[in-house]
Amino acid sequence: MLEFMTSNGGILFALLGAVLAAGLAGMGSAKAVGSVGEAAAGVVTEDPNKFGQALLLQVLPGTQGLYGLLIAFLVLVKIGLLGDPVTVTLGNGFNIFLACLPIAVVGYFSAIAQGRAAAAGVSIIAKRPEELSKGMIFAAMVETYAVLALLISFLMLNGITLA
Amino acid sequence: MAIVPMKHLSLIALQKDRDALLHDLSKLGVVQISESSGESLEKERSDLGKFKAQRSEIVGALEVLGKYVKVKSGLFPQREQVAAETFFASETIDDALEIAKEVNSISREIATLFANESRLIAKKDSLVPWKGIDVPLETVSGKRYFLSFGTIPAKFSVEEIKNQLAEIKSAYLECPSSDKEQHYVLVMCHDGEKEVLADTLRTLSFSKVSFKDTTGLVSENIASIEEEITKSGEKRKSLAEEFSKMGDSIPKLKLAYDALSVQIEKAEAQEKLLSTAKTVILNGWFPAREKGKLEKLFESYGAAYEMRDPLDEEEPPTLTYNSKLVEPYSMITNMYSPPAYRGIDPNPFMAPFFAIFFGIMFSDAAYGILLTLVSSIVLLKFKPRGGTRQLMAMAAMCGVTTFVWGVLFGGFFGDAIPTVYKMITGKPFGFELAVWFNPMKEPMTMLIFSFAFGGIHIFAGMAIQAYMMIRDGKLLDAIFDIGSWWVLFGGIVFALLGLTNVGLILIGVGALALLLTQGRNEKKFFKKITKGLASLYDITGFLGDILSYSRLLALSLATAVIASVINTMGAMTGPVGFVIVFLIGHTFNIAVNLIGTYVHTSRLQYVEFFGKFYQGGGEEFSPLDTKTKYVDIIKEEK
Repeated sequence: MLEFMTSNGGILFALLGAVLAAGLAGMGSAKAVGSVGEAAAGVVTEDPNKFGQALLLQVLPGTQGLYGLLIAFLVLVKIGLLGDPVTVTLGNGFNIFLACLPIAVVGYFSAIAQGRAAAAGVSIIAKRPEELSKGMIFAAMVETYAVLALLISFLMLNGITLA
Repeated sequence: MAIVPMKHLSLIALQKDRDALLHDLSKLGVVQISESSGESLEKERSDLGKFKAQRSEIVGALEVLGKYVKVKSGLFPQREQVAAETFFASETIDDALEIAKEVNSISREIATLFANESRLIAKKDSLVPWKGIDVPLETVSGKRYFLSFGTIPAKFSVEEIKNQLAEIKSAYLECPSSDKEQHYVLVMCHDGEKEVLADTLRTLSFSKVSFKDTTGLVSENIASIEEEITKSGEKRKSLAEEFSKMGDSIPKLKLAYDALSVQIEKAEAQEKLLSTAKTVILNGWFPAREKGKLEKLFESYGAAYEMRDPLDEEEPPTLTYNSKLVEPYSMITNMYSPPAYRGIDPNPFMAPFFAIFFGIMFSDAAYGILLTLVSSIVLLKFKPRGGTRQLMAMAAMCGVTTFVWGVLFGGFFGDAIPTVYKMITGKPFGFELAVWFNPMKEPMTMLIFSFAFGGIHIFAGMAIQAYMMIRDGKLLDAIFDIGSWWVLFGGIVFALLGLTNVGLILIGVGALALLLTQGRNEKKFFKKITKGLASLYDITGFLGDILSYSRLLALSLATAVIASVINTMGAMTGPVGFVIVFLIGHTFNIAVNLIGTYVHTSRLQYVEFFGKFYQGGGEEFSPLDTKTKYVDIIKEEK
């Protein structure tokens, strides 16, 4: 067991990080985009012409999923799964795992919170479609924290040098 | 680049000239009529209600026809050009109203047929379970026998029911069908055993069903209902076909919609006027530069008028005037809040930052070219107006900055060039495309530059605030409130650049100045000091503002990394797959990042930049004019 961990643990931890980054952030975004979609469907039933506007709001909380994918992809590149294989020590693997956590956790929760703000924004386009941008800005305020988490994940990942 | 000076207008004209005057004013489109107030004077009444009812009739007809007639319109429909005589002719509206009435009456007829059909379907559904029974439905108990239709809950099985009824000699049961909830039954017996049967039925929770207006056999009824439904459906279809023939009248309806909208606007203006027996009184605002045109118009009516500058206590509406390059960005500002008349027009300052930040976040040379190309084509070919035109003009400019930053950072469809090179030759592409540096490889450099750009943005905001203070004669406020911060920040910059001693001295001077001056409006010494101390805490606010600019790095990374994900995935699938993945993937990346970039660039302006100096709160100048949705009125040459 110990031998297995020392020879494969690095890759395992790095992959676990990638799984969490893409998985959790993606789950959050899926949940959020879904809930905005439900609210949007209600508005579009009343006025099909508002589809475009509603769609704009719906895609907003989808970015966390993309950020998660982005970090996961960089991890795959880093540990050589997509190109020439590299040796990943247990310590390095664990570091990569930690680097993935900010976007995984913050991505998940911020997506859901942003989804709620965007769903509330849908009621803005129901009543005052000309104020759509304000609804978009409210939702985007939440995304700031996903952006910050992405940044930290990226900088951490970038700072880890594999021998 | 400025807020246009306004003048106030008071006008007294003859009652008989009222309509012609309003018509001319709406054609000029330079006067915003404000609510007039005056004791003992009547408000003007107009046909506003009538026009609104007529317009909703037309809207209804357009909606109905839109559903039944396929019209190619596209994303940016071209507007029909209409001569002013046709536009303002009364037949335009009358003709369209007739068409609209016909359309609406047909559509009501269709709705009635539809409602009737659903009633018939419900009735049919209620009869279907009894289909096997060949007793006319109107049959009731007679002198000699007892008969009843009814239902028995499904918890009793048919066997059970039969067994129970077997005890009554003359009882007869027919059960044509059952569903999940109940059995549909017909029971009969000799008159003498009626009471015994009733008891048994009660234990079986029998509930009676009567077919009120239905007579005859079930199967006959169902057949006739089905026939009725088919007939009604055919009638509906033939009515709907009439609509498809009316497709040609859609332009007429649209023209009338616009004509009525103009009428409504005039009527709304009219209701703001005051009237006496022979005259009407009008108050309003107009841009000072239009004075000559209006004077000429009013002279021709022999009206009495007064034009004056706004009084201090008055708040005129705001009209901003900017160069063609800056003007589209007023859309971003107006979404936040239009500037106040005596405030400052932030557009000339905000526009360059918007374009530059947009470029940094989107930073891909190819995406920039595409953005400029598409928006320019839309601008030139479809000539959109209003918000769409502003948006497209902004997109065209931001495309240019995106291209420039893309070249500086070496992005062309992400890393498409190295990826394709490697796919074809099998060797890595050993050449750095970035003219300046590649943020993917040097994220820390990029982060520092992001903060530096943010610092410049915030400094600019504070400079405008200082300018406003000096303009309002508060020179000391500007020096104390803004100058002190600048000294402090300047010190930080020097310290970061390595000139530690100079930096520390400046930081000290700045902080001391804040400490001593920020409480200057307090009377007590103790409060002066605490307020000064508290103001130093604002530095966390500035820190937060600066950190917020890290999104410049994050979003430019998002564009670049997702692009490289697409290229890598494409390269794995071979040349043909690459083309497919490339096309779909980059379209997706552009769409998603375009929205993200737009939203985050706006946020940097609203929260970080406007937060420093901009108050807004103005009312946008909206003159009485001929606003149209579907057609353009050809201007008469004068």
